[in-house]
Order: sequence, then structure tokens, then C-alpha cells
Amino acid sequence: MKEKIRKKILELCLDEFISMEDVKKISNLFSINSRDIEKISLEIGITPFRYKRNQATISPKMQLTLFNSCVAIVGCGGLGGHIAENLTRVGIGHLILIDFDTFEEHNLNRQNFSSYENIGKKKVAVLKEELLKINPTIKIETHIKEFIPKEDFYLLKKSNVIVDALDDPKVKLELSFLAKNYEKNFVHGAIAGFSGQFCTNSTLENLYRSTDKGAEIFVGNPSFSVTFAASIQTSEILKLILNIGQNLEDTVLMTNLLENEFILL
Amino acid sequence: MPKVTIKLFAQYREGRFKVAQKEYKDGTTTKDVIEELGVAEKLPLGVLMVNSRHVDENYVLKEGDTVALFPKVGGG
Repeated sequence: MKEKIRKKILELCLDEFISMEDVKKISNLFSINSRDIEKISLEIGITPFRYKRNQATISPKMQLTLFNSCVAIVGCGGLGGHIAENLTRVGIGHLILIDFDTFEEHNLNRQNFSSYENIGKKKVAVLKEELLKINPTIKIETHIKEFIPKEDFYLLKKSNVIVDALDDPKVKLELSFLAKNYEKNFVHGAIAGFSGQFCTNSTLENLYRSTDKGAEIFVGNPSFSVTFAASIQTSEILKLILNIGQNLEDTVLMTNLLENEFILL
Repeated sequence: MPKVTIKLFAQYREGRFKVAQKEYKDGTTTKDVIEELGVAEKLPLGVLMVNSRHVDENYVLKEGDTVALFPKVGGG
């Protein structure tokens, strides 16, 4: 059966790419879901067409690694919503999204997929629906709950990377220690006004010496800082999964878009 | 009387300075500097470094130290 599917993929592909339409055709023909067809396709070096512009930055082999990876995003407001879209477009095969919140009008300045139409809807439910429109073959697991690190850490155990997209220093700090204890990859990001801070696989006690909220309470979270931060975190996640480049390990990146300062501590 | 360099970052610069040279009494701690500047009155302190190393607020300043103060960044 798998051999027949491979043959069909090779027959329909064009220049080592296969379209969603053809994936669906094969899926119907063999009564196997599109996700499994894409997996078989990637295994023989045929890339789904949606990833064409990922290449050659991301090779077909890397694309398969991403497909087989799981990333847990804790907090799906500003950072989490944009990170989730980035990861969906780049081709992470499995996302775990955790957030208790519903969209409100004051989210519209920055939060992905927030709109007047979506006010009152659960953020993770909207995200899942919209992300599957972009990439119907990824697996998205949602948990509508307030994340309590000690109680809910088990939800993250199958992930390759845990993403801190939370907005509460106390929870961020606790999550960073749990990630370290369980030897999980951990990508931290936070913003306030024009400022951002990022680090990978570090605990956060030097950034959060007290657990009260930060400057964001006074200076807010504008859209450009959020999308900038989401991009930095996304690239940290990819580098961890693909084992390429250099991560923000044993350092902290402090950014200030107002004065174009990018400082490694 | 240690002479030190104080570097402020992000919103802490507003109405203050980016870099300044200051002279303090012997025994002055980073906590005293933070209070004197009033930086943490509104925006909580995040990173506190002396000579590129994280320190706590009880660090006693020495001649030639460079102190760096960042507001806490916690938004998502």
C-alpha cells in the first residue's frame, strides 16, 4: 500500500513538489488522511508545494524533521498567536496551544486573528480554525485553561520545544524552572513598548527578580514589537529543532526598537 | 568614594540619561543607586548588571564599576 502511495506521489509531483490538490486526490484514492500522505511524500523527498519558498533555507530533509516535531505554545495572546502562525507556515507538524482567554476589543492592536467578528470567542479555538485554513495537514491540540505550571506541565511533555508566550512574569519564571528540571527546550520572549527580551534554555531569575508585572503595564504592547518578538522566538524554535545556527543560550538578547539597540548580555 | 559608570536602558532613559559617570560614598549599594535615580518607582526593575554580570541589589559598588539597569519586560 505504502509503495503504491509513493508511486502515485511520484507520478503526480512536479519538480519534487506536490500540490494540496494532488495530496487530496491521493488521500481519497487510498482512503488515508492528507497528513499521512504528506508524511510519506516528505519521506521520499517530495515537498508539499506550500513549502516551496522555504527552500533552500529549509531542505526537504529539514522539512520532514519539522513535520515530525511538536511545539507547545503556552499563552496564545500577542506572541503566541503570531508564533503559532509562523510555525504553521514553516511546517511544524504538531502544535499544542494553551490559553484560557477570549478575544476582547483591546486585543485588536496586536493579536493574530483578533477581529470584531471574533470578539468573545476563545483564542485557541479561533487560532486552530484559522491555522488549519493555512495548513490543513498539521495536528493542532488545544487546551482552553489557565496554565498552572506545576499542575499542567504534563500537557507539554510530548513537545520538542516549550514556548513561553505568557504575559505574567510569575508564571514565566515557574515554567522556565520546570522546563529545566524536565530537560525540555525552552524559548523565552517578552515585550514592553518598543522593548523586548529573549533567551533560550535558561531559567529567568535574573530577568524576573520579583514576580510583579513589568513595564508593559505602563507602556503597552504595540503590534510591531509583538510580531518582531514572535519572529525572534520562531527562529529560536527552528534552530533548536533543526540543530542549526546559534541559539540564545547562556545569554539574553535585549532589544530596543526605538533606538535600534540589540544587546547580547 | 568609588567612581562608577551608570548605563540606563529603554524607558529608564526618559528624562534621565543613557550613560553617566557618578561618584558615590564608600559602601553604596546598587539598591542605593536605584533609589537615588528613582528608576524603579514606576517601572519595576528587570535586569541589573555590574560589569556585565548579573548581581543582586545588595552589591557594594567598587571603583570603576559599570552598572546597567533595564526595566522589567514581561508582556506577551
